[in-house]
Amino acid sequence: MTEKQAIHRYYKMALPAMGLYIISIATAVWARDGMITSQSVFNFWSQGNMGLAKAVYYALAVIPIIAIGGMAWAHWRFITELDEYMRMIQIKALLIGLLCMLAMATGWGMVEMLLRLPALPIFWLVPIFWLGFSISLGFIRAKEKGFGHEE
Amino acid sequence: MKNKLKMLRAERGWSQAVLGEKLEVSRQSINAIESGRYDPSLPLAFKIARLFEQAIEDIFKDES
Repeated sequence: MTEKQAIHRYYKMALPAMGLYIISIATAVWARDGMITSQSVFNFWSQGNMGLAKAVYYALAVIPIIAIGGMAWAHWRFITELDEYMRMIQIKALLIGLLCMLAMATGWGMVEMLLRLPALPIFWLVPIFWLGFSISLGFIRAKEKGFGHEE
Repeated sequence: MKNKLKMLRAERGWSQAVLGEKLEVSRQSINAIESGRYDPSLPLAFKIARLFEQAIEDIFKDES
């Protein structure tokens, strides 16, 4: 399989998964606010139907996990379809993305504790990871391009 | 690790892209191996040796 075909297969799976992740987070935030206020169809909490409210919460929490699973599977498949050198570049970028996420989580956690700043919702770690991954992949690729090629 | 992949490729008049196709790897991989930025795995080194009909140690030189 060529790199182009692998990229096409990756986007075919990863983009809908990313979309599902974004929609699920937005829906969860909207539903949470809706359950607290009295004007929403998700007004189970103030109606006293806590069992249903909890069930909806759990269901909304599971959807982003499925989306992350989809993204992880798409990326895993993509990496296995690349040749060994391109795979190494991807793994380097993934590792840097992971380190960015860990550094950000630790740094923000410390600032939160010491300066009593508002808590950062933990689901932001996923976008932080992908942002760190994308930036580092861009840097690595730019560096590789700098070496040029000969025909 | 030094190698004479670039010389072998030039002798045959192949571009990096053509060699990449023959070895089923990307042009970037060929570029990285030729410039010594990346040492190929043993299976890929064997594939290269088979393609050029030479022993691995004749293509790749250990600098240590």
